[in-house]
Amino acid sequence: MNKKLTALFIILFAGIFIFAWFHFSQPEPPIRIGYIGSLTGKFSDLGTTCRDGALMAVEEINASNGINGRKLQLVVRDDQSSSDMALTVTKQLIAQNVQAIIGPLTSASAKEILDLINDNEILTIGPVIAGDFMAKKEDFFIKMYTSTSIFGSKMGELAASDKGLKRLAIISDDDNLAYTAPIATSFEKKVNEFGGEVVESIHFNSQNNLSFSKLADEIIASNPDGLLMVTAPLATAMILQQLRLKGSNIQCFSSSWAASKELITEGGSAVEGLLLYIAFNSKSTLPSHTQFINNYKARFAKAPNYCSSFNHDAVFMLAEALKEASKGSQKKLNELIIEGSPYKGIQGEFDVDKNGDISGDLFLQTIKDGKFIIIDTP
Amino acid sequence: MKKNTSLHRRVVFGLVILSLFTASLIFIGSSYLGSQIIDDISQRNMNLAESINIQTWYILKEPTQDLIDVSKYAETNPTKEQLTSRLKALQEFGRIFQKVQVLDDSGHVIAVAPENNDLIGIDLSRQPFFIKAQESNGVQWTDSFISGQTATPMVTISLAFPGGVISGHVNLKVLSEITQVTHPSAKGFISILDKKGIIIGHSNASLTLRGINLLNMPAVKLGLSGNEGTYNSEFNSEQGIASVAQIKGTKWLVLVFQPKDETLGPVHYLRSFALVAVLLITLSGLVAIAYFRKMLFKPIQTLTERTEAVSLGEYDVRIKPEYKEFGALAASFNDMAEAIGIREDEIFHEAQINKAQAEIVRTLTEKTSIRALSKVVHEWVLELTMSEYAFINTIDPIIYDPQTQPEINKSSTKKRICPLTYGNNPIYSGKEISHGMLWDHTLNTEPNFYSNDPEKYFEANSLPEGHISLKNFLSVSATYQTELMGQIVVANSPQGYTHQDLSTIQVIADLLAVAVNRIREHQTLIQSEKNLRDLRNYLANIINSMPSMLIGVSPSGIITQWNLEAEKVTGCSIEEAIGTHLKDVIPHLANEMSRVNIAISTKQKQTNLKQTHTPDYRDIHYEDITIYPLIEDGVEGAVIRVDDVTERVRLEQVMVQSEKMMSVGGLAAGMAHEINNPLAAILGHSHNINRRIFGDLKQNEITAAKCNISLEDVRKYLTERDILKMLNSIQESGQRAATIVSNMLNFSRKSEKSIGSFNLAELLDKTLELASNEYDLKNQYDFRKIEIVRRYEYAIPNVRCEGNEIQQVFLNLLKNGAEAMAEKDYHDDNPKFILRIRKKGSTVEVEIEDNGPGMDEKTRLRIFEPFYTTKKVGKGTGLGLSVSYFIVTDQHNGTMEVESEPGLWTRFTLCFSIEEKDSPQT
Repeated sequence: MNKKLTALFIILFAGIFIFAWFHFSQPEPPIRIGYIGSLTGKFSDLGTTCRDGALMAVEEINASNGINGRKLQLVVRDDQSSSDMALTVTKQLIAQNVQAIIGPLTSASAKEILDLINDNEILTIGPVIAGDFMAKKEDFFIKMYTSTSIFGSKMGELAASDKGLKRLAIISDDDNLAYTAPIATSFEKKVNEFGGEVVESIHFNSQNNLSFSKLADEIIASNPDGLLMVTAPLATAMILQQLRLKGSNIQCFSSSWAASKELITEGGSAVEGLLLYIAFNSKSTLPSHTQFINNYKARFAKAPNYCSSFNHDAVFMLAEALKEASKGSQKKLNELIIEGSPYKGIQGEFDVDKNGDISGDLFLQTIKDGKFIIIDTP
Repeated sequence: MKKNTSLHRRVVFGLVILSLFTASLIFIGSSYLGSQIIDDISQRNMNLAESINIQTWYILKEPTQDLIDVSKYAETNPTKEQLTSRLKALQEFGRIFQKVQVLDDSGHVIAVAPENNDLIGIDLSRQPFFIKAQESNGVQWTDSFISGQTATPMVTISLAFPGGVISGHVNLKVLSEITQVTHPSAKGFISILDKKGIIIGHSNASLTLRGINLLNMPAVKLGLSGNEGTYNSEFNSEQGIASVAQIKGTKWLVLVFQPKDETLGPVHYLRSFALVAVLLITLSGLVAIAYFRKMLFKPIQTLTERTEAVSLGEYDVRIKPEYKEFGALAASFNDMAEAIGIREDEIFHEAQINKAQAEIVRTLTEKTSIRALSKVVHEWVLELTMSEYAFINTIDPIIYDPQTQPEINKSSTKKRICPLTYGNNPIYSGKEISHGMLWDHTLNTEPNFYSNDPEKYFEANSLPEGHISLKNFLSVSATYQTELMGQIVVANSPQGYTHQDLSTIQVIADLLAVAVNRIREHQTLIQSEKNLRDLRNYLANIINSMPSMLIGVSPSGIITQWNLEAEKVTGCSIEEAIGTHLKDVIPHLANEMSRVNIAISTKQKQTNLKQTHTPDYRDIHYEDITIYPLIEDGVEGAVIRVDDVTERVRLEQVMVQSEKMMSVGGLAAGMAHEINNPLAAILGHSHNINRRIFGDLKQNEITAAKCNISLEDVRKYLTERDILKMLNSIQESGQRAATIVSNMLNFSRKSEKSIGSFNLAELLDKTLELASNEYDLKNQYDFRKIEIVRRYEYAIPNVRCEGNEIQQVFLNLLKNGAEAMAEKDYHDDNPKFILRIRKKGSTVEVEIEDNGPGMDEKTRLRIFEPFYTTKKVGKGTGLGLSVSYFIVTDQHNGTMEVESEPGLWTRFTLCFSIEEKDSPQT
């Protein structure tokens, strides 16, 4: 009798205990992903849209059972649009034992942290990183944006061949040299190929105090037919404002770096007719694209841009790899990312090559009536 | 609930239920408490939101107003420098504006503070603030944005005026300052969100710079759409409550958030604590129960053991209580045990007495002897009183006469000393038992008494030599209805005698008296019964030995008595007859009922002689019926005596017939003689005629020659003319007639017997011849037509018999047979006699068989009876066979039997002994 009773009680209280445990215990800790974004500072406009795109992706994943039941958590860090800061925050993230890192925004920051992340073998995905420095390397960095050199080539061809401009000037922000240098180089190369000439290459650093007026004067002074601007959106807008104020009407080309709303709001009518290549089809009719735009608007009460889209894709791509890893795969995340190729993105399927590079098509766009419109599709 | 659930289990069960109940209460209570807390906090946070709301509103009111003022100034068309300085004043003084600028209608910058010539003239027509201001009236607020320069959230307010648009970038750092003043809780925060849900002010200032959009919080969505209130929301994966209030004008949102965990933390903690406490208490409770169970059950166990002992018969057990609480239980248990013990003893004692009585009664019913009874009583009184010795004494009523000897006197008592006294030793081995004072006291003074010191009663204070020592003594007399039947004495009980013993033995003594009386009565009764039975039997034998039927009837005709003869005659047994009506048993006596009644009423016997009754139409019985009136048991009735006088009547008839026969015989003899004479003449003359014609006589020749006729011719003529035949026939007939006469003479002349040694075959043949001469006109049968088959054995020895008589017998049989066969219808067959004679042992057997109609069994059995005939009345006397039977069996010591197969044959078998023996004289 006693034995039975004892057994009964053990079972009873075990039951209560287990119930309490489950009731009071914390749920499984989420999978932590580091996010380096330029949320403040000069790149904040782009940076916030990038972050929002990633955030929405994380929310979407968590809403549908997360990574096999575990939630994703985005640990957001602000590099304040500074590559030094980017390094600092990367260190912080690594110290917090994040599984992977998404970001940073600029190629300069990416270059800055490359050694650190490779040493620590942390998978890092740069959704809008385009710098050549990161390309064609088997490492822990996944570059999702077409390399800047390609941009440069294409714009060079556009300027020298299509538009027949022979005297070209370049103005670039040395703060993001990793991004700007390859563009300038390949642009010049292409221009030379087509018999053009880069007459002036103006460098400035946006960290310093600038006088856009003075820069405009410099440009005008070199008397080019066309101008390649490899600058941030605000700088691009301001320079163009000054140019127009000073009466210059030269054809300007811009890298996709400047392609943001800020360009238009700050540029006003000065930016009309600017030509840009963007690795993003804003006119896509794919249902995934339409869906994404609608969801983004519902979530953030404004329209997304290419940064949001790429960040969104980056998170989903990472999620796939994490799912594989959670099933007990011994492989590292970066290998899984490569193996998991191809992926379904917002703009359609994309491949990750063995170097961890993704390249997409470039769409020629211009600004008309305060809106970006695609002129040419590849 | 099962009947035998363990108490422990129930208690434990109860405890578990209680703890579960408590736990549930705790849960419910904590939930309730939690919700109360949430409500309180919600209320508080709402209030907080409202106050922040108001504060914010006031903060934003100022720059709005300033802008309006400056726009008014701008309308007055001041110079660029004037305007710029005015803007400068506004920007520096207000400190809320980061930058103020005035644009013309096309969106180009006219003036800006702080001053920056680079900015003059640039096209800001695409700026949302410009577009908005131009589209609407009044001050417009743009979406927030993070200033690259100040790294703070900013918002632009703009106002259109005739001539342009004035705009000011408002630094929203102050919002964070407001939100940081008060914290709803340690982990909670206050946030101000712009129209799009982006954080522009936050308790944690760093969050304001990141353009974080909280539109995914339901509270925010609801708040921005105008639904102020408190809602459950999640922030940073933490569940919490969010209170939202919308700032009018800007339509921004104040959000007060508090994580639920933080709020409910203490409650949950308390709950966990309480649950654990309940758990611990329950566990310790169980442990305590288990422990106390032992303690508690020990006394119960003791009780169980003791109770079991009591139930097994130990009444000495007592309980000493360990705990005060069980004192009352122990006391009552002890009382109970004691009381039961006492009662048990009493009951046992009673039971013993009952047993004794029962056995005595049983003995009484089984063996009705005083010896057996005494033995039983002896055993029991010893047992009941635990005595060593006992003495049972009965008084023989024959010797004891209460009248003359009212007191018990030693010389009057017939002693039966029970042989089973202690160890086969009698109480007193002496030859005589002296009075002794003890004995005297017992017999004369106090018949029922006991003494535990009997010495005081001893004569000369000592017992006689050889007497066993007496420690104590008890004596009771057994009296039945004032008559003394006996005495019971017991002695030497180790515990001494008490009043209880005395009453016990008295009970037994009473029963003994009754028993003895009963035995005696019983014996007397048996004797009387025997006498009565003998008398009855004697009487019955007399009645039954009477050859008449004696039937006792009541006046209504119900049979009350029935004797053996009646049973024999009617076939009805005594049991069947008594109680039934006379007419049901003997129908033909029913007519006598009237005579019965006459007899009863006249008290005179009635006789009715020679009543005939025919049970069947062939048999006639004759009865004398005499009726005697009777008074039986006070009830009137009669006895009917029926004498079967059939034999006598028949004998009378036989005698009459014999007389008749004798006279017939005499007549026959006379006739025969008369006939013989002419017959002799016929025979003689016919013989002579024959001789004289056909005889070889000389005289014939001579006379023929004399008459001159040829004798031959005469013979020839006579032969041809059948004269010779006729002559022969005359001779034959005459011869036959002579034979018949002779036979008849022989037949009728009974006294002339010719006993001799005869050959039965010859006699039979002779009879056949005689029979063949019979031609009975009446009977219409012709004996000559019957086939005769003779099967005579060779060399049959003679038998000694009276020839005539045997012939008579044979003739009778043949005649009967012939007559019978005449009545049968022979289809293919013909009537025949088969006659067999054979030697059989020391007898000669004669069989006369015919293939006539035979006879049935009933007839066959009675065929030899005198006057029994199968022929119709008037035909035949029925004497033939009976006489034949008489002759064969009686006269010749032979046997005569008949066998028959109805419809086929009949066979008479006669046996005569061969031995030379004098046949009995008739």
